[in-house]
Amino acid sequence: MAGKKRERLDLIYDILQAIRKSKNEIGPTRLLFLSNLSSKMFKDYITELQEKNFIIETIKKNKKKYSLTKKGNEFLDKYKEMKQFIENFGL
Amino acid sequence: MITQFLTQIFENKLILTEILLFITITISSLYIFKKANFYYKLSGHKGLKYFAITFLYLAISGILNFTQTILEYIINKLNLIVTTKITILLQILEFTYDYTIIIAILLLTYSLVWKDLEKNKIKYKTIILQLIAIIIALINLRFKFILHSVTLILLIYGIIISYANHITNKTQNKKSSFSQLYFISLILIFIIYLSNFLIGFFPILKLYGKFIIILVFLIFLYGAINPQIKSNQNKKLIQN
Repeated sequence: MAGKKRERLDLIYDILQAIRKSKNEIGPTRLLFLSNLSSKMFKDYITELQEKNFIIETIKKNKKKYSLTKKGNEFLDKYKEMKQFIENFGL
Repeated sequence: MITQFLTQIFENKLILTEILLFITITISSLYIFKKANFYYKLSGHKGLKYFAITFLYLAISGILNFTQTILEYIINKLNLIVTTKITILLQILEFTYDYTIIIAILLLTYSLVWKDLEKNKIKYKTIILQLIAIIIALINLRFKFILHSVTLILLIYGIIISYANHITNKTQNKKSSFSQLYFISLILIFIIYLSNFLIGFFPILKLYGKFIIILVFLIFLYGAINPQIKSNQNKKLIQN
């Protein structure tokens, strides 16, 4: 992705993939670092992903953690297929 | 009488082609609608939304076109008296078919350019497109050239955009060889619409035109199925 502006779908994919790679449990600071976003954009995306039921927030030992939901996992599984479909029809 | 009627249908190449056309358009359009709608619900990508609705309208247009053709065929073959009720029914069918075709082409074009246009934040975009389609379909009841003219203009625009997309994909080394096929499909649709003007002079063009439409819808179907096939192949490779 270096040198090229990431699209909205790619950003969502990167955030969700970072959660999956961290054994489906990650804190906000680590997730912000891995997603490579500004803190403002990160907050906006996290709110959107929670609203869309892609991730859930839990509190463990007084610390915030994010995990993927079933829908979030489905998005990751279908991402490449979806991207190919979008590219095929120039959407 | 029914057996005789069915025999006549199967001996008529044009009607057989209409049946094939109806099956191809309806099945491929409904499949593409279902697939694009599923991806839209998962991602919220607006291009997918417009694309999904396009194919829902195309499926409806396929059904309407087939109903209209079969009705006209039955009326001609059975020498039925065309009453005012039948005339009104045929006109309603024609109007609804014209409307579904225009709105589908408007939405297809919009699905290619929505990223640039939605920056302007125009409200009620879909309603505006629907109104344009209704107005064009109404005018077309009286002035038959309007549907073809608007479709041709939109198709030229769509061809330019899809060509630009294909070039972008090529320069960005994206693996989508389908963008070239999509561009060719739009050119084929353009040729069909252009040849529709000449059908009065060369009726054989009507039959060839229908075969080209079948081919185009099969190409669209391939474009919708292909990502899933590739994804399954990749998953199998990873598992092995």
